[in-house]
Amino acid sequence: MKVSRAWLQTYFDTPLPDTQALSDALTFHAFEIEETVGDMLDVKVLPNRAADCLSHRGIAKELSAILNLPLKTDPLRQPLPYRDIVSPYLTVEIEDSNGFDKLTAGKCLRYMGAVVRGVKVRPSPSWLKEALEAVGQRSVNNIVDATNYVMLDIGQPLHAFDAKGISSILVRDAREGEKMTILSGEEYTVPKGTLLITNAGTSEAIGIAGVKGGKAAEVTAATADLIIESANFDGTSIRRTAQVLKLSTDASQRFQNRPSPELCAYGIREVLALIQKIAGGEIAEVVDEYPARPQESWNVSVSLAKMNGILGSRFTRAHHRL
Amino acid sequence: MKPDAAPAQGRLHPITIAVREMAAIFGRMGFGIAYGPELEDDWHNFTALNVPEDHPARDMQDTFWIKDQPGKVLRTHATSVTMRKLEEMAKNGIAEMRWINPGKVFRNESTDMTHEAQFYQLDGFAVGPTGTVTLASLKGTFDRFYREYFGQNTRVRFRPSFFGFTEPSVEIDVWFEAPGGKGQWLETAGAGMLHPNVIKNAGLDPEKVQGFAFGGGLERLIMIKYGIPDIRLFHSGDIRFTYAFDQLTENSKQGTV
Repeated sequence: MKVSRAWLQTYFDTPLPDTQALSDALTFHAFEIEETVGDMLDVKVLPNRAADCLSHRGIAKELSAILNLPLKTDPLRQPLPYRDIVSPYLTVEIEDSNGFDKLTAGKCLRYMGAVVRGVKVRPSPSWLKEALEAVGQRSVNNIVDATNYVMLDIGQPLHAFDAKGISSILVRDAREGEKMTILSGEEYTVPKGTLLITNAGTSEAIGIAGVKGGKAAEVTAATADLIIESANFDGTSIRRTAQVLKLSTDASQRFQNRPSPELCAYGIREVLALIQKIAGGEIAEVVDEYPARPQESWNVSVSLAKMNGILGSRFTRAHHRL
Repeated sequence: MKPDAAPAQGRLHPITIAVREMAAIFGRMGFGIAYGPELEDDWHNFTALNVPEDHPARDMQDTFWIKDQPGKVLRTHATSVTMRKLEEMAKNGIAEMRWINPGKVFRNESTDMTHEAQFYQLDGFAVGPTGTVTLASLKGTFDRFYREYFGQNTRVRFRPSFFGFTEPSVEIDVWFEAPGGKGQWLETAGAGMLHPNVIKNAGLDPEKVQGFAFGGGLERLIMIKYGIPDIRLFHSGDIRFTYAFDQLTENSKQGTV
């Protein structure tokens, strides 16, 4: 995961130390650094932390703890706005062979879709271009850049579809021999059972779930209305699809490490705010299909005695701080 | 050849010399030597070691799978031997164990100066009743191993890392000063406290048994010690390379106690 010091700085009031000091702090407390080039650090996030640290927010949180610097803002601690999940503009249905019914999670753990009407697709403002280019990403247009920025910022993969002709989304398994053209123009025959995002009206595939968007609903300069997807798909299923199609993407790498489906709501909030800021438009209601909604939250506890027993350390209550 | 000339003598390979030397050092700390099959099953190489199927951790090691033998792999690490030993411990009701597993391992990757598709690993573990074998024991063990193998100026440092089979996991760096050269930190092994799932998979109770495990390239240690630039020399069959090593080192002379 490539992170830039300037981007990390947006999380702190206190000026961060130089790249070398950041590199040392992470190396000895969290992650190996593959390389540093100018302002950029390539952080080697391993599978145990990939669910929360393939993001600038995740790395900033680590640095906050290591360097004892308070975070200025944490987008995941800000309360979510209330949203009605019924929308007159968009319906979402999940037809998932692994799930038994609407309430049992299969391969699609959550699907949030938002309709944005009347956006202006144009080149991104320079701050956004620079932020993306600093971490080795290519700027496409303000909409695509907004989705990439929020993914790299808080870790939630997002996708923008051109909403023209789409009023209902069906998340379903691919049929035998089903073909699909991805954004880069390459055509794939997807294996039966691969989870697809489809236009329910035309039955056409508009995305390979969790991996890559389709050409059929590409956002172009002519796009006026958008459907923004903030979803969560089963890690095993995404990993298999990415392997079979030899199509490893920023999104598939994140989903295969099982980020929390709770993150979807933060992702859509952040990306809608950014799109309004740089592309205008009017946000319609947000649809939220959430088969994997947790029934209760878990607490994790560990005792001092257990820690000392494993580490061979002699920590006492005096070392303990919340 | 003149009839009275002494017959030509064979020579130990530098890897053999190093294994004997390391075994002597670990032997003095109570470790025996364990071996296991190079053609391993998926259970002992991955699944039992808390690297489940379709887990991203499997991408960390490029594996040779065997044609027509589903579920069999050329072992990617000698940690599979640790798993077999832990199972033996459960089966025979043994309370503690210390073994090193020096052995050949295989990775499906291209070769260069520091990577070979087959190489040796020095793997090993120590387990005992909860609270007795800790992360601090691991540090002490490696501190002593490296001092005796590399020299008294050696220091050991841990960095956080991740392996499916240990929690917490660390990378072990060694501070090595080549004779007449500058000292530097070098990455030598991965290690950590055996994950409770691994203990459980062996049929042991993680509430009652804990311990550390480690593993790293064996050639790399020899390369550091003697300043060897290219790992491919070990399997080159070049007799001049083999003859450059003393067969009996100070450590192996001391033997095990």
